[in-house]
Amino acid sequence: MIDKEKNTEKARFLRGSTLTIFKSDRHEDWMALVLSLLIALGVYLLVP
Amino acid sequence: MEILNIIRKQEENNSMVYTEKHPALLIMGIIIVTLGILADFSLMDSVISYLHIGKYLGEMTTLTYIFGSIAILVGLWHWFGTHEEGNLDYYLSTVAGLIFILLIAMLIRWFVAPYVAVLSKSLGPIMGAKYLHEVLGLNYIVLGILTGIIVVNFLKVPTWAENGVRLSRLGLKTGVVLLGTLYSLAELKQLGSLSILMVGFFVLGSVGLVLWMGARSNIPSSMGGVLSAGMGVCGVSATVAVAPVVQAKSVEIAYTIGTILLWGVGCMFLFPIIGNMLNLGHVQFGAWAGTGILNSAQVAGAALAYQPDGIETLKVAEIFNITRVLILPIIVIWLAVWYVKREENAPGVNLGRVAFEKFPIFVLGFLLMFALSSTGIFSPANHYKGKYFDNNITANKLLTEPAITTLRNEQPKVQLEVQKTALARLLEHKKVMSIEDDNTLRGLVNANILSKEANAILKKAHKAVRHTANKIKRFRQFITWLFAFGLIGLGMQITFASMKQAGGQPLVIGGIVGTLKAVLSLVIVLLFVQETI
Repeated sequence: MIDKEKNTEKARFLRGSTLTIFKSDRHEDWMALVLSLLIALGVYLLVP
Repeated sequence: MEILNIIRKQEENNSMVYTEKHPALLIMGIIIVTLGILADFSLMDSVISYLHIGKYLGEMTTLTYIFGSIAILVGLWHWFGTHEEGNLDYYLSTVAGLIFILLIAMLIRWFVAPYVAVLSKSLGPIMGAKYLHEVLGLNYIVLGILTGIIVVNFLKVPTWAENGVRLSRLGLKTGVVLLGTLYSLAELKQLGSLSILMVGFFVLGSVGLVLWMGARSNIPSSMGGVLSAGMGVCGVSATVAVAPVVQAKSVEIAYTIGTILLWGVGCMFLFPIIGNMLNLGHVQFGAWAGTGILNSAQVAGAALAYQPDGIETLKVAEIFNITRVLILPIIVIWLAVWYVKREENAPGVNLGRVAFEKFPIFVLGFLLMFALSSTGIFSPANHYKGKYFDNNITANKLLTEPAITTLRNEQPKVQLEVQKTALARLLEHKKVMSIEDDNTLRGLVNANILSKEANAILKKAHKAVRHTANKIKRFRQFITWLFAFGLIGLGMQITFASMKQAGGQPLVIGGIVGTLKAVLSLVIVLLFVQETI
């Protein structure tokens, strides 16, 4: 069943998996960290 | 032959392009901006008044313009632009799914959930002072997840949105990292030590119990190993992390994920209902959900479903969740050693490398945000639950004479010396005089010794001296929307097909261990966890 899903998944998304657009969990973690830092910087600079 | 090759090549190239030439994103952008204009120019005041959604007016006039404009610009490119394989195509194609989820979140948070509340209130209270929608937890989070489940199972996620739906987990992780800005050192210490005790006991206990039951039921070691990680640590991520270490087969992973999803989705909807029936406090519910529910996203879902208009329950639940995620490398090492001992043909495992590879980096992000926040750059460093103490207040916020009389009449009920002193100081100065007094008086309120009227006066005195910094308010908004986005997207990934994969012995073992964990953790929470933690 999983194999079947993986095959379908491969046909739909050549990068990442059905759960994420990133190539690995670790990559996704780093992106979450970068995004959070950008939001924090925005809040720090723009919110009085 | 050459023509066939060209066609094949073209087909291959087409499958690499993720952006669909479709007007959907542009149309959604126009709808969102229109919503903003209607709210901004007071063209739907009657609707806002009928649904009691005035508190969302700020969001309705900022988020709509920001995301509506993005959707219109990218939507024009989607529909009229030329798309070629590459990073630009790959990442910008996700905007359609992102806006699709956001539009659903906006409609549910601003209109559907308030309408459900209006209907429910028209029926009158059904349990004490609680209305039907409060008891069943029919708020924007639960309705959003349900909408996601309905879309994916009955309507199908549109192909132009599929790529963006895969951003939902990124939204949840970013929300968790940003949560770090909302804790004070005292809070983190108190919640951290409690979570280490509870999560440590229940995670290790569940893993051990599944392994023991698996051995007695004669299921393969690989099946027992992967199921124990899934039921003990953090659901699907743990299952995927442990699978190669115990050489789990595809069908075993499928069984485990099916069991976890079936159990986790059930818990996500049931826990808030039970919590409401037992009238659990925010700390109690957060501790219970963070321990008893298996999957990280479902923990957040249950916590926000329990307290949709605040973030306190989510904060507690996430500390428990993070503690559990941190245990993952230890469990992977445990199962690797356990598997090698049981199976002769097991591959050798580099324990240090496993621990490094499985360490969740986003938890470091959470700690980094906490460290940044602790320096006082977002709010005064002595904040508690995102609020800081300042008792330079105007005269109209001081205690009134009738309020002082009410509190004086109830003074004899207070037994603890520290509470007596704090109360006396409050009565003398007509306002809370220090952060310590404020914490003590909050404890007095939570202990339910005084009458409702007296407690209301103390709460008012607390609110008068506690202020939320503007930056913290903004972080709360970001976190709420990131979690709403992530959870609706999560709903779109819960398919009945994946839950149907559950079955056989693994489902029985998973069901027994999951129930035991949920019931025992609830008992411990009720007995030992107090709201004044």
